[in-house]
Amino acid sequence: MKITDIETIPVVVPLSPERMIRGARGAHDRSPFLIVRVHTDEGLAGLGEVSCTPRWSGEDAVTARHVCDAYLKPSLLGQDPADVERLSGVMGQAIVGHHFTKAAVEMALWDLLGKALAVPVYRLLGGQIRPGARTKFSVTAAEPSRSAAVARWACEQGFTAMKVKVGTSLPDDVARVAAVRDAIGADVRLGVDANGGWTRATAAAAVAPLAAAQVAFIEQPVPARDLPGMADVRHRSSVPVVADESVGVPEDAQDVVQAAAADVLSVYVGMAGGIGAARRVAAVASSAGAGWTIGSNLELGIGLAAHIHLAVSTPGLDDERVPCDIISTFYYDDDLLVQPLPIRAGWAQPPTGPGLGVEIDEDKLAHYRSDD
Amino acid sequence: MRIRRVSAIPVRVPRTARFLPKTAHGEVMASEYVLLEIEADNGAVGLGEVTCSPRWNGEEAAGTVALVHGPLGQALKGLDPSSWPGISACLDTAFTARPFLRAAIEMACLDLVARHYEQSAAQLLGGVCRDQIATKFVLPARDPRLVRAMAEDLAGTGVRVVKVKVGTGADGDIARVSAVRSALGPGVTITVDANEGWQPEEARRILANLDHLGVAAVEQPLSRAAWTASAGLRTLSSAAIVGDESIWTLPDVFRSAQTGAFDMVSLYPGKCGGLRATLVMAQSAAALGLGVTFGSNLELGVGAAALAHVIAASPVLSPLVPADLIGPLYFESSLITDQSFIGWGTAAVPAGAGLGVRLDADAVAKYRTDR
Repeated sequence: MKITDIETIPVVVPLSPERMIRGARGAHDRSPFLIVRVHTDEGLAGLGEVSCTPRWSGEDAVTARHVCDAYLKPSLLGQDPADVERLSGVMGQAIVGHHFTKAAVEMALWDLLGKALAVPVYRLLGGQIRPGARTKFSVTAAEPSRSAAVARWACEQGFTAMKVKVGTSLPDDVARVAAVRDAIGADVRLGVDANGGWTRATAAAAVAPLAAAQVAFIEQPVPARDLPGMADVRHRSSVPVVADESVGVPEDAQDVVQAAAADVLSVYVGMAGGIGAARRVAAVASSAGAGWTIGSNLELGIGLAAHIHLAVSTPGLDDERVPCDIISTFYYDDDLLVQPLPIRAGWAQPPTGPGLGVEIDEDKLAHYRSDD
Repeated sequence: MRIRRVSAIPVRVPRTARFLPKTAHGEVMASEYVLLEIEADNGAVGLGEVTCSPRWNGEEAAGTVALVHGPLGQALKGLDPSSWPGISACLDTAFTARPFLRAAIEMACLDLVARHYEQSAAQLLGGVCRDQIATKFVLPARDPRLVRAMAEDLAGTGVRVVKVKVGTGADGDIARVSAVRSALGPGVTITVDANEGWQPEEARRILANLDHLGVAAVEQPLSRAAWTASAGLRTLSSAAIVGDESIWTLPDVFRSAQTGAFDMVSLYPGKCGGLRATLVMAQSAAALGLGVTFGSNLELGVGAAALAHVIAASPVLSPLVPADLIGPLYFESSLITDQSFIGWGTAAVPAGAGLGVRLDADAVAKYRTDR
């Protein structure tokens, strides 16, 4: 089998207005992503998704399309898509960075391999070692009563774990957490996610009031590069500290574990540069005795599927302490897939079809594509 | 003063064949850049330049242009170009990473504002510490006989320091440096740049050989993440070990000091995300006992001018390792009207207000790739 084309389709899919997310890194109300289809000479096509948000991932759909056209496609044309690891290396040689973009092509190669062999991707990754992954909801940063209302809605959907966005002003953050805890009761596992927005001093001051609200984990309290600051929060806190923006590629995970900067690492296929790289991030975490979980960049169905295959086949998933953010279906009223993924509140399971197990609905793709 | 318009012009300029550039990262025959023009409501225009090297920094022309002509340009309109904190905060909301783009925008704002106040950019960066800048010439990682001939070609140009690109194979590297030493004699200082090309175990042997050849500095011998191994090399060589691909941000400077990975750091505006950021990193490095030199990603005329102003304004500068302020010499055209500030062993700060350079409209028309 040989790769004959890499097709790119920019889409813009709006979030459901009531559930759009605002955090310390800004607001996300629509997803200007890029869908990738890797075509072959045997009629099979692999699907990938560049879940690019300029302010968070640093990548955007225009650049991603150009990177695919000008750098990735020329280096992959005529190659056998089954050589996923080797082709990942080839892409790395073609252009530096652009991890979310490369990840889209890499996940499409896994999809192709699975379709060619008629097995789901989790089977290619070593088999399913858990039936599914526990998931948590993410409550936007808003004034307390509004965040509380969103949290209450999440409970009504069936979520028993969630995190609330913090990381701007400590009094506002504490009031929001208190209002959310009040709305959801004592039995729901509640964490916070500062997206690196606190200084070390603010994070240190936050530990006690968060403990008073029974906050169960603290995600990215200080900026991504401040690993000693993360370690400092970890020493002060009796609940796990999660590294999110601090961890992208496996080298970042090495830095985090060497600095003892986190108890749990948040893994993304996009940030790592592919499913293979994401597995290596998870392996670094596990080998250092740290847990790992799955993060969210509000992926659409293809990106979510990649995360689910990763979650159910890779050792060390710490979804009990820090449930995964496999939740995008609760933020969008619509997706691009023919069949929705087997995701419900608090639990995500893999689709069982070959490859990533998802199929694009061409009408929806046409409706949401943004280049016509 | 408010920004009225930001425009981006992608260009592609062939390298001159004379010096056949090649490094451990590969061979490049032409380079892509994006020129920026920022115009204020009073009609003043400032120039910036983004180096696009997909295999080195990942920033490429089409995405850069689209960003500038799209959300970034919109966000910058109406902002005061003399207020860097305001502009910087705006950039933070428009993109992450992209240090070369960030530097280009700062360059253009500085050019614009300095011209308005009839000051040179270096004066706005804190004042001029020097007006002559010692530079080194760079020889490619090619066959030793070829490189020897190029080195001989440099005799009489005034070049006192050369940097030889290595990192493509131990035996070839040693032979190449030996050929250059033979051609130039003992009076010329030789440094090398491995661009992450060596493995730790071969580095020992190579460094021993380079010491015999009197190599004064070795840049980025190992992979950018190999902090501990690099610290190990420092005890093996009397050459200064210089960090380049390892050093992008201020935390990297601290890490250099903490790990002992480098004697010196190589800084420049594109990689460091700005002219002011470069100066902050330079002063921090010096305070931590690290040497400071200024490197390059092979700038054209506008980028080279910006680098000259930064070096002129820097209170710290290594006397051992001259700057790589030579980019324009490598290209068919540097796209400015007067590149005489770049010499063969020394450079000056372009005279006049702002960055002190103007675009050559015919050259831009010839090399732009969007029309």
